[in-house]
Amino acid sequence: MPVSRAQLGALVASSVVVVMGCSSAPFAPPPCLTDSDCADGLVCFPDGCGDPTRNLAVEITGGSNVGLFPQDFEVAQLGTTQDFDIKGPLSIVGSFQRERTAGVDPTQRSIYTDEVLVRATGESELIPGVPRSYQARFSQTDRGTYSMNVGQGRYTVTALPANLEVPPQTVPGISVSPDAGATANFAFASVEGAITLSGRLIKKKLTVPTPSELYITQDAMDLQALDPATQEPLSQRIQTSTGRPGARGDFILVMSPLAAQLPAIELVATAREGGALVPSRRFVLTPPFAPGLTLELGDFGEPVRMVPGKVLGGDGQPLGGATVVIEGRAAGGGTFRSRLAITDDLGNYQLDLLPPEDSFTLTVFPRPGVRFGVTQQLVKLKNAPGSPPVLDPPVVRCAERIVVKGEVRLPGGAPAAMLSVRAIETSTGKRPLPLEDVDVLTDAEGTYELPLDPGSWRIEFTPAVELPQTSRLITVSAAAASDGGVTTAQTFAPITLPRGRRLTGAVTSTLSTRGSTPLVNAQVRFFRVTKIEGKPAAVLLGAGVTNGVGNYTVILPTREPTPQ
Amino acid sequence: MLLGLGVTQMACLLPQDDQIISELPGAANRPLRVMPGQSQPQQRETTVKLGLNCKRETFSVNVDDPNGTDQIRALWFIDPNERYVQSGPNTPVIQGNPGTLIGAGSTVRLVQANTQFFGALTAFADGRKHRVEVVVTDGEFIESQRPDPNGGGTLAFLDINRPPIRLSTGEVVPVTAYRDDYVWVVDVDNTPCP
Repeated sequence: MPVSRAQLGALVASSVVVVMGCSSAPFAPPPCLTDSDCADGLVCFPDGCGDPTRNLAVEITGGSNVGLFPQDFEVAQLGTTQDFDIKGPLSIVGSFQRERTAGVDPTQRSIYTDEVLVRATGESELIPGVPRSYQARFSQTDRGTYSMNVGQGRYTVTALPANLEVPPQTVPGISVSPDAGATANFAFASVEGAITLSGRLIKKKLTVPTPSELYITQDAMDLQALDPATQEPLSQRIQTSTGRPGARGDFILVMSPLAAQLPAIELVATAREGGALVPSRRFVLTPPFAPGLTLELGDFGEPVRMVPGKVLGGDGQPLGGATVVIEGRAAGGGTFRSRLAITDDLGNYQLDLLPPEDSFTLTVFPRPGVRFGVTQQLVKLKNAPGSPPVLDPPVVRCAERIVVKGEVRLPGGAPAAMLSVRAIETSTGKRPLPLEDVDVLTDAEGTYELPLDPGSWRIEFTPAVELPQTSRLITVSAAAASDGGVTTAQTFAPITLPRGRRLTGAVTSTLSTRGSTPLVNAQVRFFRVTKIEGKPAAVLLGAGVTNGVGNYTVILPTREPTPQ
Repeated sequence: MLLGLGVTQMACLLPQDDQIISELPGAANRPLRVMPGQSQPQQRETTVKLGLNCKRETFSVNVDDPNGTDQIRALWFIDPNERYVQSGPNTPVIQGNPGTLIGAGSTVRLVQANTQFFGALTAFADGRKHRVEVVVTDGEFIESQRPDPNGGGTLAFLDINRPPIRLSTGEVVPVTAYRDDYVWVVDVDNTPCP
């Protein structure tokens, strides 16, 4: 029997109150909890009730044929068996040319046969949110033509010549599918057509006692021009300073002619090596671009090495194995990010830092599954002469994670014991690193506890028995408790797993005129294509792998009764 | 005639050995393997963007273990030496996750790299290519010693082991541990993202 949204909300609220007690906070009611909340024939998905046989898409990855990347299939109506035939391999083809004149003239181009790196970045067109990216290096091409195998999807394709004086070129919106060939042709700017930007990347200009310049001699520095709107490269990433004594930071940046047509460009100065003790900085320039440019990174001072710190749990005990990173605005105005440090068993760590402009943000990422969670704190660096450097405060105490408690039942109502529960962060919070997945198993009573940091999460329930996997979306918030403290537990209403149906089928590949052959060891993933919070999204419903003769089995949700 | 031939052939059947096996040994361990073409990144040679504000990349493999209840262990290496032991800060060894099932009724598990791995990888943004390798086993990783071919001592190397099974008869049955690996060649790009 269908249940109205208001009835469902009341149902959830009552179940939450019963289970929670006074130390927990309720979640906002999801669109549905179990299949019985939905009309006949519909299944409860994270986005609400839906027909389990419609709005499906299938991704087939890998298999016995080398060079075969994912292909997607739209399944309008699920059949009793579902076969798929892979075409391909799919590829992006095209040519490399170079303009002979300063302008853009297809009749005045020469074939470009020097080495080029081609990168295609995009995502599946049929399965929203499934990213795909590929790259290949081409040298001594046959008449400047190339062919790069990729998966099905929509891509932005960038060609980066190995010659750093040839600006890169980007072609957006390349759609690759078995139905239509994809072509991305590149015509690199000529020497006359490219825009040359010369200058010097330094620490700072000094005026007293005499005009002079402070140079960057700590680490090798790179510079690259980007389109501020798309972040696509307008130039190659070039080295401006070797970081050795005597290096003055002189550079010549060769940019695409597109740079002159944009309202502004962005220059990004970055240390060549990750974790280097030099800040990065972005500079915005507007055309026309004058020669002899001076870019000041700022006087970021001298590195402060082996700065100690300590991480404790909220119980005051040392927290080992936590990841620590410190970042923020460095002295002089650039942006600094430290290397990542891992705390030892006593909660101690050491980091090399730059002096902050004022203070840095320190972030601690305790291991997933432990009681204490991600904690951020502003820290100052005290570095008085004659004293060892210290952070202020020197100790960070991590807050408790919210323990999400829940219960999973089998379709008949029995507890779903030993079921895999995985929490995957879906929010894009402003943290230096994404949160790791958290994995637990249900106990004999089908209950689970997930210590989670505040944010949006997708909880996936994967039974080992022949039932379909299912997922729900939750928002974990550190809401204030009635006693003035912060809640440390939230209870998610019980989940009843949907019934499963075995779907079988065959996967073949037609890669030549010899006909189709079984595709062995390919991963077959079924998704429900939907919208979540108004945005296109895909929910994984089930996965399987083809056997030695190309057949697969996958368990998908159904409302049909289990056959006797 | 055919019937007669059948009877003749049946008559040739030998009586079966009537010895009763006291206890069946446990099923032999079968090797696990990294599923081909199902790794992330999908290409062996790739660029990893690890700059400030960049969305984290995924490094993962699907591991098929026909012994569905086996625990999978994974170690991640960056530029490992030939013995797969840490010989300094430049050869980090990172314990991976145990792997979770990728589908109901499946024997395939997803093994992913963790935050610690990406933290270590950021130090390799130097414009050069680096070898990222994941080693998976259905046993335990242990550090063993072998003779040093260049000297009289021994050298540590990464080995795998699986405890034997003790049957109810008291007999101890050794179990073979298996391993597999997967390698990427990566450029690490630390340009900040917007």
